[in-house]
Amino acid sequence: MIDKKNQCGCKAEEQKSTNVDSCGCSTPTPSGCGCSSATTKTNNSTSKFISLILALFLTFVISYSLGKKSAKNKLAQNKANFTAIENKIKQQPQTIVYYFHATKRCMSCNLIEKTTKEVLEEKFTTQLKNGEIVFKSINFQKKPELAKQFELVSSVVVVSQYDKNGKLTKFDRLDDVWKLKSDSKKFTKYITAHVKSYCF
Amino acid sequence: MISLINIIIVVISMGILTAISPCPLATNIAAISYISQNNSSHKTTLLASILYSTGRTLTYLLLSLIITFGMLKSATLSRFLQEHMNEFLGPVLIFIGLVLLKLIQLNLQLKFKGHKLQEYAKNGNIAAAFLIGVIFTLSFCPVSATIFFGGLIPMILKEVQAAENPQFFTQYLLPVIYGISSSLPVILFALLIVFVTKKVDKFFDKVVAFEKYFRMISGIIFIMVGLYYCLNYNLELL
Repeated sequence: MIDKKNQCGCKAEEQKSTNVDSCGCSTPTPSGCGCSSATTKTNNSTSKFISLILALFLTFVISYSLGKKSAKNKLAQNKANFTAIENKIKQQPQTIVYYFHATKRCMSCNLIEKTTKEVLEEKFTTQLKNGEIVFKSINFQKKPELAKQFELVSSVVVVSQYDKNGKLTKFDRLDDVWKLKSDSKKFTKYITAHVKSYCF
Repeated sequence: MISLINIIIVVISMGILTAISPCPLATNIAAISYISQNNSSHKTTLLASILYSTGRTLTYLLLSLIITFGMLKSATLSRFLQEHMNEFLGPVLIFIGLVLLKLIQLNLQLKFKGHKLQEYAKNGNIAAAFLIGVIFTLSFCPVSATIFFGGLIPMILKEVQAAENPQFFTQYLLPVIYGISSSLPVILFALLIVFVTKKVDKFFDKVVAFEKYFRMISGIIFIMVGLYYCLNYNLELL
């Protein structure tokens, strides 16, 4: 668009005066030079159209985000009560291996989750079957109480132990999963060693 | 002395790793396009690079100081930024894109003392490179958050406690070294692009012909990356 305007040989800054439109944004309109009016009119209306569409999109995105925030706050209170109850019904002491992720998942994060799950299924098959070890993949942005409890910085694997009353007794945050993610042998060893130390 | 050099090397590699890890790729591309669009002279590109780097470095330093002075816990700050900054980024990027495409015109006159500096600023809102550095730094992704909040900060805290090296070095200089090295890959890439275009410029004997297109390309990249962030973080569609 802009390069077409320059075909008339004027400097870009000189040939534009501003035109304020309804959304408060000012759009450039060429004036004062001998450009052919047909091209400039189309350019002008296209730019206005694009600006309008994007302005509408932005308004939608911002209002959606704000709406989402207030809905989340209400939900968080209910969920806090729910987790408290959820942890109480457990009858036996348990080792829970958490994979914590954010709402937005990345490739490396998915890889870490997948490999951790595979290691558990391969090395701790019986414990997984009888419920001694449980694997949980959790969005830490939706469970702020857990994020606080484990002092999460970002997506990570956590090994934790709960007693039969559902009370957290100890935990380890396996931050090195990020360093070892591309070395599957070391990764397997790292996870296995930590989970083993948490077995009953 | 040896431990000091070791620490510096580790911090530099952490910074570079932050920049080249795949998750901030979209924002890095946007930053490269923004810095290299001011390609009418090497000085403008260099100034934009320095401002971008300063923006990044000061932000890292500030975050680090907030934690080392005990105002906020590392984990709390990390989670807060990851949850809120990425939602803020999309609309901002689209806005910058619109400004770059001149679909929105801002009448910002920057008052620099030297006339020359003012000339540079006019050439393409170079000062915004600082702001871009700040907001790109604040929008952490899992990898960069783990490296900074899970790697660098605990290291700094440990060093401050051990007090083997001067406190000024550990508390202030390490975040600065990290910030500078995290902006190096982007700056090098932008300078390379400008260098290549200059060569092509000379070959065709057409000076400044590219700048116009670079500005447009940069604007389009900002809008695309902005839309990606909006769809991904605000609307959670991707």
